Amino acid sequence: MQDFDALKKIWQEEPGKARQISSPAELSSTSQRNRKWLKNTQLIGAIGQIFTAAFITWMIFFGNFGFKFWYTYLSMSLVVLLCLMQAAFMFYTYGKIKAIDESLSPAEHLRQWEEYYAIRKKQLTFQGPVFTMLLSVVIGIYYIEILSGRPFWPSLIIVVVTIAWILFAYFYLGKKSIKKETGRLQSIIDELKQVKEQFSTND
Amino acid sequence: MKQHKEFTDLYEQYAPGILKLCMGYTGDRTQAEDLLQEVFLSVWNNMHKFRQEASWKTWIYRIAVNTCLTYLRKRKLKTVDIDEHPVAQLQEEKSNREQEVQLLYTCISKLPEADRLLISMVLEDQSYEEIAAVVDISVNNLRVKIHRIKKQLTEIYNQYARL
Repeated sequence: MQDFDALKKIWQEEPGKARQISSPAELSSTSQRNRKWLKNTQLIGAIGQIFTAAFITWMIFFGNFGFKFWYTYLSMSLVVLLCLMQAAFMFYTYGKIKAIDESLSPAEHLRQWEEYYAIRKKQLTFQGPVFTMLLSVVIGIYYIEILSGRPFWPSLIIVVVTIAWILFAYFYLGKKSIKKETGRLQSIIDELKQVKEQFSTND
Repeated sequence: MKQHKEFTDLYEQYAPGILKLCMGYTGDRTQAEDLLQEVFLSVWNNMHKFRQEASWKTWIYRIAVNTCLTYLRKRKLKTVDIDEHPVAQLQEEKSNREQEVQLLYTCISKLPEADRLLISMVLEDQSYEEIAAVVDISVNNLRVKIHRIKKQLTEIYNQYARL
């Protein structure tokens, strides 16, 4: 039968042999690389979206497409808007990951991670419907341009197939993957909350 | 160069204690060594932020605590199951002292996450004031928690030591 002092003695007699290092370059960590990767993915993605938006804007003014209807240009402008919205989301997420500080108190540090996962969850549930709606409007407008003057029945088939695909992608594939991902994010948030409570609750 | 020297001095001074903290948290040597590297990488990357509002020790232990807590999210910890790894089996593999140490680490890893870290710092003989500064809770609250965790750990250890 050991008491706590005996356990302390066992602990303190163990020297805790850490590997010797002569420079920080000798350290390596998968997790640190993962966080850097997480951050860079958002940054590179946001820059990519801005370049795409700039390229489409250039095409609107200098592309010489000769579209018949002005609203076809409007649909291209909506794509630019989508790209810029996506870029803004990505810059925001990048900022949140960059601001995570390991030297804060555990409760505050866990709160930062919780906030990051909550943002990811919100993005999934908000971005999905908004992007699907805007993209559907864009495709709809574009179809007016390309299908005008074409025979009725083939045009109708193209429109019906496109609508069916959007509905299937959104209501079946999209909902299924969003449900799975939000469930995963929620379980991480719950775990973080639980650990945070271990520090904050009084015994 | 000066920062390199300062870092290696800090590593030399605190790495053994942090390694034991990580051992208590994970109950596994390989994961603890990985965690130790992660802690000191964070220390290196954040050294410029150190404002001397706390001591180096408090600051490094705070990074260690945070790194341990979020490490759990990244990998599901493979804590050693004592029932599957009885003392009898350990006896054949290690000396008596090593068995006791390993059993202690394994018992600590059975506690809730925050408790593992708190008790590891108590076992390391850190003062309640120092621990309270690391985890940012009141000394009184900490005292009550430690009392409960000590009791719980002793019970778990004695229960498994009998196996």
